[in-house]
Amino acid sequence: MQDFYMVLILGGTYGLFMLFMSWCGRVVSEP
Amino acid sequence: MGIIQIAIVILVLLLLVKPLGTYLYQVFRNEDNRTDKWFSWAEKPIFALIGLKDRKGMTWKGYALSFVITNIILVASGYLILRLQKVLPFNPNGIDNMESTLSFNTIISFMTNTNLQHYSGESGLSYFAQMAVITMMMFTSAATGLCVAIAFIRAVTSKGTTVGNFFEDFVKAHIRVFIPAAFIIAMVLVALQVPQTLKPALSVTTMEGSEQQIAVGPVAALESIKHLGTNGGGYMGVNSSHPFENPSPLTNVIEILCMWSLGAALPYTFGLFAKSRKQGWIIFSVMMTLFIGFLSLNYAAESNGNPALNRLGIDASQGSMEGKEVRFGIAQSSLFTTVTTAATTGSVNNMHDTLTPLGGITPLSLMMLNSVFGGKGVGLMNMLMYAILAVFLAGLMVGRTPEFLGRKIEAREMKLIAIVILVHPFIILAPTALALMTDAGQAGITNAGFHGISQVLYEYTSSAANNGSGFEGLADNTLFWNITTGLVMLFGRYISMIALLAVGGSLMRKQWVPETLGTFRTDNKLFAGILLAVVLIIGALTFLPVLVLGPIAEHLTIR
Repeated sequence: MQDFYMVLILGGTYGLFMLFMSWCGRVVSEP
Repeated sequence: MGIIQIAIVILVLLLLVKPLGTYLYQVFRNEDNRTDKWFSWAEKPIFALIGLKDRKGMTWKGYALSFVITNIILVASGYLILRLQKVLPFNPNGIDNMESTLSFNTIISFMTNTNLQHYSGESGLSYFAQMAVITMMMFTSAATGLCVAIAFIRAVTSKGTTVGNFFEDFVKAHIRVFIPAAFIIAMVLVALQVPQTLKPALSVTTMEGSEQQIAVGPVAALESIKHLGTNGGGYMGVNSSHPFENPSPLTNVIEILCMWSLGAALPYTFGLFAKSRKQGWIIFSVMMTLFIGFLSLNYAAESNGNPALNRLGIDASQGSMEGKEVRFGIAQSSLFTTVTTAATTGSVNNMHDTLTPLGGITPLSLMMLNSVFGGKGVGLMNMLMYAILAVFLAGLMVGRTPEFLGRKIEAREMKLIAIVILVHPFIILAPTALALMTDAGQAGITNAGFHGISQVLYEYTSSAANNGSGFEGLADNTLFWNITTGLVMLFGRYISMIALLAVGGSLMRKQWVPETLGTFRTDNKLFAGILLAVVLIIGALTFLPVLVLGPIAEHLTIR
């Protein structure tokens, strides 16, 4: 069960980085 | 004598900077050059295997996405191996599967180039895990950092929309840089008595008649890449203090130069890309000035011995030798400590937990600044970020739109740079406060005094800077420490890389601004001074209060 939580934390954190990347993309395309 | 030893190593480094920097430029400039002849025979089958026939350039976002997804795949496969190592091959010592939170921490640690070890390598990992996870990730994490730095350099020094192809760079970093260099260094280390074997641990009878297990294994292969890739950690729990990892002063110097030389050469590579070698030397000189300042602090503090012991009348002529190896002495221990934290390698040849309080400020400060040579590629990126900030501040002072390498620095770049500058202290100071407030955090602290604060601060600073060394008195193999340091390592690695790639992508689309008499030059001593001041002022404003609570308060209690 603990493996599930570890994978969940890893997946969630990498998901956050993807969202951050998307936000950075919006920032650099602002006029 | 100690100062002469240090001066000779620095001189050798200076001689290596230009050839290594030029070599890196040749490898990554994406034009036909001599290195193609030497290595394309090995690269072509790999490119064919991964379906990379058309090596199209990527936007900054495509590049970032490629390196993050590659890292995710490596993390998933590595986690599985650690959890199943008991049933996998090459496990002659019958080592059990790694516990899940420790596997979580370990896999993040090695993927982020941190190599923080909450386990002891010789008893916690099978040979297969040492090779297929630990050693392999030492190549891939170093190559990832180098590739992202090269992409950032291309972005700030050229125009267009693409920063290179991540997969092409990734293969080149392995085939043309890390694998040949690691092979040569490993062979040199084997010649100098470092073991490289798949035989199980040796069982010997001691002089007292009891049985003792002596760990051996594929040590030399790990030893070379752990330093070349500024990975850190070690095959043995005590890293390069162990005579099998670092048998002599000569191997010590080789290991110091391995972890220092590529990071020190990158500013020169940057100068070649920018078509201004002077620009590269300015960045290098700022890094070296900071390095020598912090090295002097550590060397002086350790040479003067522990004030508490000196008061007892104990001979301090050898300096503070607690936790140090006699074969290295103060000079080679001090230099190793400074290089391993400046280059954010994190392997140790002496126990940082036993540094004098003032001596301990050096590794802490270098990891807090995270831009003095720095980890593979990341240090240069951080220093260039400070350079852009310095230009911005200078522009504000003279009322002129700031420019860096012919591009205007505007609000969007500063927004991202502000995030990078703020994230680093946040992921150090917030978890430090959490650990000091909670029972789970306090349970790991083994020193009730100010040094206990330093232990906690060091652990999170090392994690955030992707360094990996520790004040190892901390009992850190618990659920709380494994998960919190794991998350700090992840945020310390990816936020700055993604944001700075975005800054690069933004800059490279801008129109070049012609240089005029009024342009603020970034290749002279004045700019070097401003850059040095910006790094120190931001570092001091952010971290001085917590340093006062830790090592400075500790020094005042024992002086």
